Amino acid sequence: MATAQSGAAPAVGRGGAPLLRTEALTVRFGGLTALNRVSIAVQTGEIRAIIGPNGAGKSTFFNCVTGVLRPTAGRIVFEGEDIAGLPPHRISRKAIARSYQITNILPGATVLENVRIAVQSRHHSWNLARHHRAYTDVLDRARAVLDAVGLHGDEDELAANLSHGAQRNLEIGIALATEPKLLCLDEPTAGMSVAETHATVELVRRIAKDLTILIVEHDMEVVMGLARTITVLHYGEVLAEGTPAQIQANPRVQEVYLKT
Amino acid sequence: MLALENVHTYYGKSHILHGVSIEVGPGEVVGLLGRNGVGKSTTLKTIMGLVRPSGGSVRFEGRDIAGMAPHRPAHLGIAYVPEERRIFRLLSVLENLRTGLDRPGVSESRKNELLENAYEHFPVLRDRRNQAGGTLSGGEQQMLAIARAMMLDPKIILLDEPTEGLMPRMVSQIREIIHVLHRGGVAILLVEQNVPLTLEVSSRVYIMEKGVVRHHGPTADLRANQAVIHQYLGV
Amino acid sequence: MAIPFDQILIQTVNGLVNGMILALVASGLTLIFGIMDIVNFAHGELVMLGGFTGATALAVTGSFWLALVAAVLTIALLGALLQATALRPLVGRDPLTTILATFGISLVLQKYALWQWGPSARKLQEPITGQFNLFYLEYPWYRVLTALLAAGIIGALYLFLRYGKYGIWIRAATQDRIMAQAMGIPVPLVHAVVFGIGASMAAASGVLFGPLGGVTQTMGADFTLRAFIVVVVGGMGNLGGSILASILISLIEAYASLVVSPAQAVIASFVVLILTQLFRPTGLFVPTPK
Repeated sequence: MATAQSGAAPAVGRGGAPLLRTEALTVRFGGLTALNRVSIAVQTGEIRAIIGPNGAGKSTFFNCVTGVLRPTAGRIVFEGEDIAGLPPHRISRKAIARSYQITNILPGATVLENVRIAVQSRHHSWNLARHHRAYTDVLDRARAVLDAVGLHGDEDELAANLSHGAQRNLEIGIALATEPKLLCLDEPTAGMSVAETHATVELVRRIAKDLTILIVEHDMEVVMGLARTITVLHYGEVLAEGTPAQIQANPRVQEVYLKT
Repeated sequence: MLALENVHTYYGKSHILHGVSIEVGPGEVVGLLGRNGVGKSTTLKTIMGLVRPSGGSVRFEGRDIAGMAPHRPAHLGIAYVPEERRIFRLLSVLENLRTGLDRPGVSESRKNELLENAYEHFPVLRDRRNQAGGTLSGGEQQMLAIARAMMLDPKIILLDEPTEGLMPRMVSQIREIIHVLHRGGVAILLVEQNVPLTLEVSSRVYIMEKGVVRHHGPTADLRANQAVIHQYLGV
Repeated sequence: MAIPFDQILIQTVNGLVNGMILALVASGLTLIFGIMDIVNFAHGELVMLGGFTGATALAVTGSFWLALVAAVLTIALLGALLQATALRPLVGRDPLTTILATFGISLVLQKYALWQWGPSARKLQEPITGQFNLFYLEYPWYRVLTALLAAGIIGALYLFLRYGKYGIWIRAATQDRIMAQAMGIPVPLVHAVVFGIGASMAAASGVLFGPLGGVTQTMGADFTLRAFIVVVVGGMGNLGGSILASILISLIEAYASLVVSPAQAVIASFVVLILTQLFRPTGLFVPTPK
């Protein structure tokens, strides 16, 4: 399963079998090996952070798990099923959701509408005759999501009018609305001020109770504060895995970040 | 000579720089460190006029250059070597260098001098001078990008992560070049993630985090202060 | 139904000649697109205005060559001004905006020509008359001259881009507009000049075409249409490709007019366009990206 050169075993979650597991995941682009036999196991209910210097392969890893990229070799096993190479919409039906670095919200729709559309992807009916306002269960779920991401006061606001931080949180809300088991967050605090970052960290802590979260981040405070286990990638390989304390104490990790 | 004061820059709605103040004096080598995504590259792009700041001021030799047309800073003496090198792939090595040489007000002899200078410091460019830029290796492209900037005979060079992805041997060459430029009186604002190299060549260092400058001081002080290094640059 | 060999021969030469004129128009269009991503729907109108300006200059000076130079210079200036005033503010915006803008400019230029020169067509007198013996046929000297001139102009453009001092500026600005500016190249000025060069090539085509087909206010549309087909088939921004594509398209149309009327022969060009889009969308003469 997971390899950790630091020698420490990764934290074990509630269940025995990991929710998400990659086996020797490899991605090659022509002559460049972006991921080299990466094997990671994420337990149900944990918050796993993937960190590493520029070009370490974090985005490539993310893109494989969320179906945007097809790996050259290796397996990605989610709930016991190999999902490597599945297109993004099939991945979404498997209950893996993703937020993007470049916001994907619908700017011309209201906050509530944005989330409602996502909820409907899970709860749609083919009955064309019903008025959209009659879908109270859908609206209730949408409002519950807005509550969870702290946007309940803005439900009728046009998404384009939100502040950057609020838009990123809406993005998380849209992902959340698809009722995922695994939520993948791609640099959720990029471009945020310190205050907005703290708010987002709080948000993620709140929603993490019922989810498994995979997060790529550069902000070390966010990573150290949120993650139960951290995987450090370097040149496409797993350099180290462990708790925040173990990673901070790991001399090889320090070396890589400070490029000594 | 170059002074940013309380600069705020946005990319669309994303507030990247939250009041950045940085100074570089004539002939100084100043380091700008920080992890990914903190706004180091955005700072350089703001200086070059590639991004317009929404607040604060950017002054070069006393005059306000914020929001200047992007082809003006080069004429004022500010040269830029971006993170992705961005040499002109379909132009030959010599043609790449000529984009910097062919400026009004430069004598032919000075142009030849600058060109010979480049060939002397980067002999591989002389060998490959008629080859298309895109056929050079990563390290050679980095040399070309720096040489190209030197053709502008600049007063200050903005270097964005010049050692990223380079082998240790080439990193040494970069170190050498920085020394050569410094001896020639050219100021350098060096954005890097390579901490030891930066501490070695810079006289002063700024450390950024989340779009603000968190630490600033002489290199000697920072070298002694491992705690700060680990806090903002390590893990 | 057997087609006489001499007709095939004539159509081949006609195809080549028309191809070179079309190449002159298309190279200007592809140059403009390559450097500033502007899809210039007014390009045919620049051809038309070139023809009219040439006709007027010819009437005034009596010299075809002076008329050619006058038309080229005037329209080059017009082109640069158009770019600097109407198109520069649109840099970086939605491409649809520039398409609408150039389309609007084409309408304005058409009506201007109508107002300036009236509704009748002009014919230019060719500078050299007479024919020569092509095998056992007679073929006009002027047509050959046109093809040679067009080739010469395109060749000069190529040499300028490749070896000229400012050619480097243009090529650098085409490849990486941002870094070109970081090197001090005044990209907005380069854009205006390149538009002017493209316009001047269109104007030259208009004057050269004058003796062959006359100059009318509505001739622009045909040129724009064919030039776009050529640019797409040859690969957008690919100078060599547009030349080859121009010749290909013109030859195909020329042969097609042996069996159908010339007005219907243009359908053949569309067929080539559709086939190219289906099988080699980046252009026939551009290697397909893997």
